Order: sequence, then C-alpha cells, then structure tokens
Amino acid sequence: MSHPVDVHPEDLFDREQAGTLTADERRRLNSHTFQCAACALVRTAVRDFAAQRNPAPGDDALIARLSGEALGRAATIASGTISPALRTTYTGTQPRRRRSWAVGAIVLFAATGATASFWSVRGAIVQRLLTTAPAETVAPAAVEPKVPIARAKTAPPAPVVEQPAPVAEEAEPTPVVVTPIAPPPIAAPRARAPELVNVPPPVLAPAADELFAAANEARRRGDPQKSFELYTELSRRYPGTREETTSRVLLGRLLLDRGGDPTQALGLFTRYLDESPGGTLAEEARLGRALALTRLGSAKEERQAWQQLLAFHPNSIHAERARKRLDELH
Amino acid sequence: MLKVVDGGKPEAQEQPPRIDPLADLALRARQGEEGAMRDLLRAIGQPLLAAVRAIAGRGSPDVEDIAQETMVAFVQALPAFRGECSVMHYASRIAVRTAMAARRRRLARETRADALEGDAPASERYAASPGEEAWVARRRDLLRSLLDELPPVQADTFALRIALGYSMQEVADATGAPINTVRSRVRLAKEALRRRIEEDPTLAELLGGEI
Repeated sequence: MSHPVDVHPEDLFDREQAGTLTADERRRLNSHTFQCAACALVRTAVRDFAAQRNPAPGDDALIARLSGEALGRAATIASGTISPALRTTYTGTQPRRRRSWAVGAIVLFAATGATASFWSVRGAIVQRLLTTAPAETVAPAAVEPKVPIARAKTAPPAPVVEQPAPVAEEAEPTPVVVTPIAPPPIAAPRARAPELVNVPPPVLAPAADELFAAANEARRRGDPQKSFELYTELSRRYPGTREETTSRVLLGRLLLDRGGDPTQALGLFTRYLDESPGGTLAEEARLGRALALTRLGSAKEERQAWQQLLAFHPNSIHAERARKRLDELH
Repeated sequence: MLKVVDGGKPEAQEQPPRIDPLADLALRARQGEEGAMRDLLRAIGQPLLAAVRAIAGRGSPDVEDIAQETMVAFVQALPAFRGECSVMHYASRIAVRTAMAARRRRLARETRADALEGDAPASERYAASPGEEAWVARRRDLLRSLLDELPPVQADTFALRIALGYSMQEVADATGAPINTVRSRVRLAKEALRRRIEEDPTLAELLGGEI
C-alpha cells in the first residue's frame, strides 16, 4: 500500500457529506482515497458511524427518563453551586413549605411542654407531627444513594408507547417511567398518550440523515418534487439539526430552479447564513440570496448580495457572474 | 449588516451574528428558570445520545450510563458556557469526551479481567459477527481504538469529525480552535491511522480488499 499523499482533501469530504460534490470533485476524491488508505477507511467509516447515530425506538422515553435522573444527580452532586430556583427545578422540593413544617413542629413541641395536661388528649397528633415533620424536610434527591447511574434509581420500566409523531415535536413522555426524584410537572399538563391496548403498531420515523440522504438521492436522480417533499419533511421533523440546516440551501435552490417562491428561497438562504456564515454551503447560500433578490427585483439588496458573495468568496466560480451582474446593476 | 470594504474582505466585527436556536433556553437554564434545564436536556438529548452511541458503540451496555453521565456533566458545565459555539456543539463535545473517558475505563477493566482469563478484549466483538456486519464493526473498532491512543485534543477533533460526521468548520466551532489547527489535528490523526494500517499486515490486506 503506497501513501504518497499528505494533503487530505477535507473540503471534498465535507462537500460529499453535504451532498454537493460535483462530478469532477468526486473524481478527485476517488483518486485520493485510492492512494490514501487512511482517507479510504475514514470515508467508509463515516457512513458506518452515521448508522450508529440513528435514533432507536423508545429514545424519547429514554431521554425523558435520563434527563430527570441527571437533574436529580446534578442537584445532589452540586447543591452548593446551584441557585435555589434551579435546585427546586432539579429536585421538585419546596424549601419554604418544609421550613414551615419544621417551625410548626417546634411550636407544637413547645406548646406540648407548657400545657401538657390540656394537650394530653391531642398527644397522639403531636407525636405524629413530631415524627413525620422531619421526614418531610428531607428532599427526595438528597437521600438518593450514590449508586450506579442510569438504571439504579428507576422504577421497573413501564410499557413504552412508540408514537409515530415526529421527534422534533417531542413524543409524550408521561407513560414511560416514574422516578423517585421526578419533579412536579412544570409546563401545562399535556394530553395523556393513548392506552396501550389501543395503540397501533410502532412506526419508526426515518432519521434525519436518512431523510437527508433520500432527499439528495431524489434530487440527483431528477425527481425535484420528491426531493422537495423530503427536504420539507426533514425541516419539519428535525429543525436545528445539521442535516436540516444544510437542507435549507438545497431546498432554497430547488425553489429557485423550479420557479418557486423567491421570497421563501431567500428566507431559507438567509437562515442558513445566520447560523452558519462559514458553513460548507455558505458560498451556495450567498449565491442563492443574490439570485432570489434578482427574481424579486430588489436592485439595492441584490447588489449587496453579489458584493457579499465576492467579499466572502473572491475565488468563487460564480465571481465572474457576480461582477458582470454588478456592472449591469450600475 | 455586512459592510464590504475596499479590499473585498468583509470587516470581521460586522459578520452577521450566529443564531443558536437553543441559546435562549440555555440562558434561562443558567439563570435557574424553572423547567428550562429540563427542556434543554430534552432538546439536546437525541444528538447527545447519538454521540454516545457512536463513540461507545450502539450495542454497548454502557450507553445509558454514559448518556446520563454526559447530561450531568453538561448541567455542571453550563455555567462555563460562553456562547463561543452552539449549545448543541458544546453538548456534543462533552458527550464525546465523556464517552471516550468511559470507553477507556471500560477497556482498562476488560484488559485486567481478560489478562486473568487469557482473552483479548474486543469492544464490538466483531469476530463473532458475520459478513459485512463484521467489516463494519471492525472498521469502527479500529477507529475507536485509535481514538483511545491519540492525544486528547486530536482524539476530540477526530471523534467529532469521524464519529459525529462534523464538517471542518463545525469541528472548529465546537472545539473553539482555528480551522487550520483543526486541519492539522485531523491530518496528524490520519497519519496515525495510516501507520496503524501499515503496521498491521492483516489489517492492511483486509482493508485493501474492502475499500
């Protein structure tokens, strides 16, 4: 195995990941990986690892459970460094109420001593307060033993209901697991999941990378309608993911190429640049903004967009086109 | 708004601000707003779990423990978050570090136990897998074992790049390192990988037939 190649074409790997390799770039990348065993292995392994990252059935429930347990552990570990409000969030405890219980117990204790004869008939009640009040002053999380994490503090897992709802919309976690440290509900109560007996068979939604790959594949094989649908579904299901961010540019370009709404395309390109001004597709996004503004007939903004393309990407293959258009706009 | 200067380069300080969809939630969580930390953990949960699965192995019995450990670490690290990268990248980096540390601990335990039993540790037990599965597992295992051996900063960078599929810019954002430093770290990691392949004739032969 010979390895004369020292400069690994990381930018080409990025573009392959983003699904934007040109035919020439693919040839260059293939040529490099033919000679460089490390890059060849990495190129394949990236796909292998992507499969490892796919969501699994029950992930929403698992995340909900782990979040609750982690908050409890964090509060236990770092109680001295967490604000009282945050500690309440972690543990669900009510310090003021606990203090009032303790004060009440002390007052009752004093009253018991001073007027023992009168209160003798209430002795049983006082005794109960004296024994129960201290127990209620202990936050549940504080007495949690430091035992192996994750499964140690959980109740036996309740049946997990797999919802066909999108991940981004956060499946209802209520029927999943009850932990001793779970805080009271914070948000408004949500509708409970349907009873297990009425639940249809679980349907696993496609993962973000699967949707992204399918959309790219549809685009490459010349099916813009399908590609458009898949990119749209990706943005609906997985907002904020790397795949969704990247798909904004691809979706915007599809809109422009198919005579779609330039305002919508402009918004997609702009949102991509807002989040990834130096991203892999920043050049395409800046070009897309300029083209969308051309369609919209907004000369001033279009000029700025072409200028930005030239400023950020002076060696762009679109530089000549940008200069020509700027001349026309003048 | 961007302003273009004579040299054709934009003024650095006038680059459009990056908008992190989780920034507001993270701020409220830091300020102790009730429920914000819980919402934040749920928001980062899936990518965090994905990162842990990639590093530890999807079938690893430690995935849940590591994921929870990562969430605890994230809660504790949030006060130190300065917004130099996205919250998601920050969480992913913590996940990678936590998972790699857990993996090293597990390997150390396995090595000690196997030394007593005369066995060799294998994190994915790929020898027991058939066909393509075995190949895929072996490739992942090779890269994970390489991560165990690399200097920490290189390992962080390479894990984000390979196991999480980050672009170079995303790695730079997540690690807070200049992109040229990231390039250098990736290059060094690949050189180490190349040496590993060359030093193992069986591996070289097998990979030669596979890729």
